[in-house]
Amino acid sequence: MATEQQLTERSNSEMDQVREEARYYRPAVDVSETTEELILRYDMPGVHRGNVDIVVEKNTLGVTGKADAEESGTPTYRETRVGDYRREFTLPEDVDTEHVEAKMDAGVLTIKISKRAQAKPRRIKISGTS
Amino acid sequence: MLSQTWFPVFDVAKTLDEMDRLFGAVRQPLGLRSVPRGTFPAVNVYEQGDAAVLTAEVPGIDAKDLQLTVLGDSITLRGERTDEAGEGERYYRRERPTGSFERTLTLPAPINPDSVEAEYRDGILRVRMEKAEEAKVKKVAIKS
Repeated sequence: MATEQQLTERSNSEMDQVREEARYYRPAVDVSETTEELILRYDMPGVHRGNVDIVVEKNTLGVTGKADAEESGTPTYRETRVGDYRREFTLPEDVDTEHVEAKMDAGVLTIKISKRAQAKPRRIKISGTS
Repeated sequence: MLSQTWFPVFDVAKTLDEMDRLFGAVRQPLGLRSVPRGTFPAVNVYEQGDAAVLTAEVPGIDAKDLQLTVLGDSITLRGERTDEAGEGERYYRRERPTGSFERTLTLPAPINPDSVEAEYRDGILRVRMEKAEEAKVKKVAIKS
């Protein structure tokens, strides 16, 4: 009896999750790199720093941003809806997921992930006689 | 001399592209939130009784790089979003719009330019404007 109930509940919440997931916007993201790190910048206007959730799991980077409430009143012209943001990336192996730095300002989230030492370019000394 | 732009074996672009999981690919996500060229920033206009409010999604700028002008029932927003990449930074994916922009919107009523209040917070510019006196709804007394 108990197991049946458990099974039903799990699938209900899965359905809720499906519905929830379908409501997210994917924020526009710029990805760049330097010799030292990988940099991701997310556009999430209307999201306050305290409403951003960043999860690094194995080699996946997941970001969720909850947007502030929409303006009140009757919309007379509308180009965008207010919605929460969510986006996941699988990271390359060359980054060090222990060293992740995140900063959020004016609706832009900047995440910097250091590269593993071996992944950075190294000058190689050439030995020999001449 | 080691070239400034030589990056070692891994190919970040290919890895990220291959593996950028469309969130909920099986169930439809709402879509990539980036406004097509020509309509940046995305703007909404709301009517609130005797006032109108315009909201523009323009993350990552300095408020002083924004210019707002009003005339009659139209409002113009001008500004520029600069590329933040530093020296030696190489892009693998660019989705965020940059560059200068100018948008003019027609408001639901002529407004009083002295009543305009603008605030920039969390990447959203919010402009509140009171309607011009003649555009406000007035109660009419009926003689009897």
